[in-house]
Amino acid sequence: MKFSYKLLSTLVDLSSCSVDELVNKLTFAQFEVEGVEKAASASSLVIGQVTYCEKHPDSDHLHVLKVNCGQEGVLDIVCGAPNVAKGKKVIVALPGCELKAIDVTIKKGVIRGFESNGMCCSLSELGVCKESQSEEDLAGIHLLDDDAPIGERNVLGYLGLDDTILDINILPNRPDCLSHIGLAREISTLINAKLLFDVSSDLPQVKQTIKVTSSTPSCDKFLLAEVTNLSKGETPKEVVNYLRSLGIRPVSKIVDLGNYAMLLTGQPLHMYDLDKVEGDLEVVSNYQGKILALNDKEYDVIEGDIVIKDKVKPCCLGGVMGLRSVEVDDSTSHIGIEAAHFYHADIRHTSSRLGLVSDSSQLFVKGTNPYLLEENFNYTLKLLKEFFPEAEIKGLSIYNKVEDLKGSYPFSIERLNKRLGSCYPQEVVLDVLNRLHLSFDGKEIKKNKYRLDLVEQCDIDEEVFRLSDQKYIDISLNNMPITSGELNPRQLKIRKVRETLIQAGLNETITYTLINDKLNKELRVFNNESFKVLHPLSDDHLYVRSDILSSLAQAINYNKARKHSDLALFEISPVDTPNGHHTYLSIGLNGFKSEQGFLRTRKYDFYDLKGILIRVMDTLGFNDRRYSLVRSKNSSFHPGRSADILIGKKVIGTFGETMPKGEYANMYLLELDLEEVVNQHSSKFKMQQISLIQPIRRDLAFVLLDENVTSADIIREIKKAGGKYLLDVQVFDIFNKDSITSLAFALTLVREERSFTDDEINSLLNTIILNVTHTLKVKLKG
Amino acid sequence: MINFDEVLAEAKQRLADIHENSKLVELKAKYLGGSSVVKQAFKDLKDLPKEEKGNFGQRINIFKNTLESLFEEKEKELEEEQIKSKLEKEKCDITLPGNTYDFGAKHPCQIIIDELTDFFIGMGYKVAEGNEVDLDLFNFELVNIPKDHPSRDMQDSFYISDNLLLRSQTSGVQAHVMQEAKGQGPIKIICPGKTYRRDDDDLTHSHQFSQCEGLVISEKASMGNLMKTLDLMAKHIFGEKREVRFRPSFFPFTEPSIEVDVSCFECQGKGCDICKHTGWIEILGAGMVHPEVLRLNGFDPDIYQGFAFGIGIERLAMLKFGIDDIRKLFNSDITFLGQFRKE
Repeated sequence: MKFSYKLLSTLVDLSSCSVDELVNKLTFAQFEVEGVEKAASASSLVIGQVTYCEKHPDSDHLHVLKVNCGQEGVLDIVCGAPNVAKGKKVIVALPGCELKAIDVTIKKGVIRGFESNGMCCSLSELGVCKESQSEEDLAGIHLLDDDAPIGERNVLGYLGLDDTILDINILPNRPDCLSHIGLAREISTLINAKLLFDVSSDLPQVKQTIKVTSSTPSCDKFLLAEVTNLSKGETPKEVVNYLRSLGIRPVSKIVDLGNYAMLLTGQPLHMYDLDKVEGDLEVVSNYQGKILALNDKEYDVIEGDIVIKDKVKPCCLGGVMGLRSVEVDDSTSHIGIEAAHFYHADIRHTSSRLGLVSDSSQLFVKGTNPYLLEENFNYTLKLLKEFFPEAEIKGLSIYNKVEDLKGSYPFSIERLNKRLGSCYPQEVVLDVLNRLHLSFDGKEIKKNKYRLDLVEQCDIDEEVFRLSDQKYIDISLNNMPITSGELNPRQLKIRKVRETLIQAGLNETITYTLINDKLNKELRVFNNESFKVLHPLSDDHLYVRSDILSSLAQAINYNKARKHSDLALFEISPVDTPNGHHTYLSIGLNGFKSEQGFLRTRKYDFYDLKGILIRVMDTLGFNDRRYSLVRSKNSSFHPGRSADILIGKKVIGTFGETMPKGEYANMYLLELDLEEVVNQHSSKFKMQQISLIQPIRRDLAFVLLDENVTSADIIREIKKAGGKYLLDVQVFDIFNKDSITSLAFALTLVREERSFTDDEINSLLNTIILNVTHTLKVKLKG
Repeated sequence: MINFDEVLAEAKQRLADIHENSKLVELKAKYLGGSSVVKQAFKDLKDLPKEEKGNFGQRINIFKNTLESLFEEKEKELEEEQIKSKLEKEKCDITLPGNTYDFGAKHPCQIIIDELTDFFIGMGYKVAEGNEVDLDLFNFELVNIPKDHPSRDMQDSFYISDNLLLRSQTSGVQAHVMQEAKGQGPIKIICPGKTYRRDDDDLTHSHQFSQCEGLVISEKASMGNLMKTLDLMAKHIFGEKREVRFRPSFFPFTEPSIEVDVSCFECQGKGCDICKHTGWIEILGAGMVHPEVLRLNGFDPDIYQGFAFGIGIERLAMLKFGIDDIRKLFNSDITFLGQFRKE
């Protein structure tokens, strides 16, 4: 919210507190000052009167002027503004004047043959924000009142623009500071300064003319002043200046009054044209039907919205916006000024349901103070008298179901010091309570109507913390609980997987959890349902993904579109689905793998991905006997180049080459449910004795008679027959000729007790060959 | 009779012209082989009168030895030449790329998460985890943000049903952890994780981001402890030379609440674009756990107290690595991701 330093200084004594000091104080007292700006900025101005004004002979818009600037003399100025005219009083920027808003320093010069020794200024050129200016001001230079003093150098002062505007982030716990009076009270506490205003909470004694009632608990206080004898005329000049500085456009006396009172008190007001109101007013929350609001839009009101109605029609959408039916206009001279307290949640519901936000609704939503309603109303009536000196308050209607604030809460300095780890002396704490005008009897603090946010000990802890020196706090680790810190085995394993993949040359990515319908359907591995978002930002954020593979494939395509197609990416991400919580690992390989820079490269293939998978499983202490690979039937993958990963019969992942068609063709992708692996014990490891006998290597090659026989089948049968003598068996060659495949195996044989004889070796090999060729459709390669 | 000196001179001459092994073998056969001058000399020796034999025999042996050593020398010379030329031939361009054993890059957010995790593990914290889809109850109500609380305006969330949403903050993990502890302290955890809010994505906003929540509950854990912890943490991430300051702030789940600023590491506090000319950079929010949060989650605020903090991971990553656009963290651009190999 924006605050005028000048206006604040009329409410609280800031004579010993500069802008900088105030900003610093506020910053360390829970008020983040987001901006400090001058209302206007110019170094060398003077007020002048145009004494000569003729069209420039060589231009269709320039004027040649003589401007009488008093002691500064009569200046020749060439001016482009359409509204300049002889006799007008204008703001002149003298040579040397810096206009920060347009980043210009005025110099003497010649414009199309005519000397120009200054510039006539618009408000924008002085840095006044555009929202607050009239259309006339926006269209040309600013024309001053006829009584403006010629030669006056303090032009910003004359205009009331010698102000500094503070943009302060008022946090949700302090709605009381959403007004100048509220912030002035806070500042008075902060810097121990005197308040310069005094306002009573006793309402004037005037009889009730219009009856006001409420039939809803959402409105527990409603004040209405009936005012007549409103004169026409201008809003007081200084008020116009404040409004402008704070970015509010002056409109008319009555509207400006409402805005100004709200800036000062934080209490939204509403004005009724009482000539249009029929009968008494009632606040209801059961009205249903259409209404026409002041913004000329029609809204459907439903039960729960607060409506103020007269005998026959709705008159106001309570707390949100007035209605056309009782709108105040230029001819109104008989108005009702309303100040009420509405329950914040109801205003919030109505405002967000209708998408209708007003200055009033914003204040109500943050919570207004029902206990200060009378004070604020009195302040408003005081302003009314300043705006309309001859106005008459004919009647005052009061509906009040708010009981006086009572009660107290316990507070102990010892407890404060225990929580903050501090040693605040009693006098420091009492000083804070005193500045807050809180009464403390040593045990309990009485609730205070100015600070409804203070209701228990911790609130006072906070006040002491922010209003006194942090030096009383023991900033140390004394009294911290001593505990052991560690990752649990599961977390350690996931960290190891990440490190392993990075060591293997893969780059980690993080992609979005919310995905569109298309990605939600593509490249599915686990067939879990996906959560759907009720109010997505866009169709691209519709589903909470239940697989992460399609996001990775999309990431690959994103890079391919940017001419980076050699990729090795991975992502580890938690995935929440209606079926439960998972942690998925996905890997994507695409294009070429470098073996020596660009000198030697080769295409990624199925076995790269398989090798990475095995490395991950090894990292997790999961040896190959504990999982198996079977050909995958997943339709997103190449049926001959993909596999499902199984533990027992449960599929825990799928990997392989994608289908060689469509936008994801020829990628190598993997998705694995890590939770299925990391939550299991690592395989036990024990050192094996190394035989002293030299092992023997023998090679065997088999021709496949059936292409479905795999190397794993043959190895299995070799192992069966080789038994304890077979130390190891590895495929070492594959040859293809005339579409017949042969596989060659290297067998390492050893016997613990003594070396084999040739006969023993041959007989062992024969047994192995016989077993393989009898069990499988293969023959020994001759 | 053979003129030994002449033959030796001739042999030397011919040896000098030889550069190939095969030629050398040929020549050696000629001088020292079956039908060589040396053999001939020995034959001649037989025919000599007895008294001359001794003298001549001696001269032949010297001649033979001299020849042999000449050839030996030449053999060595040739061998060395060969090795030399072999080495010359086998020379490689040492400036060509080495074989590729590249490692990949960790995501910058993960770098920050790991740094924080390691720091807090060292301080005795454990790592808690929570689901990203959580009940409204945990995300809001149990951390003192009841329905219609004004601060729910600050976090418009992605709801999945009336009471289920993508968590808008990791603070809900506090509630889960406290409920699991069944009113018994101490608790000392952090929880890094993804969070979601209905923000349109731009340079500094992202509908998806991550936080690292911290929670300590014991009988005595105090504001002073919190301030020291965060001071150490900020220095761990941004360097020992950083100054740290604490500004009072407001969060519904803590009271008193603070925001933590570090002195700008770009301009050393003088003022620059990164710190918006204040000399300070806001890095996180924290505070003493609100008694209501303790109460709501089964802890007796008359016995227990504690602190909580929430660190914005992306913000830290962006500050630390000079990343100018938060969206770069999520679009998987390899030219971006690959850079973090160096970290």
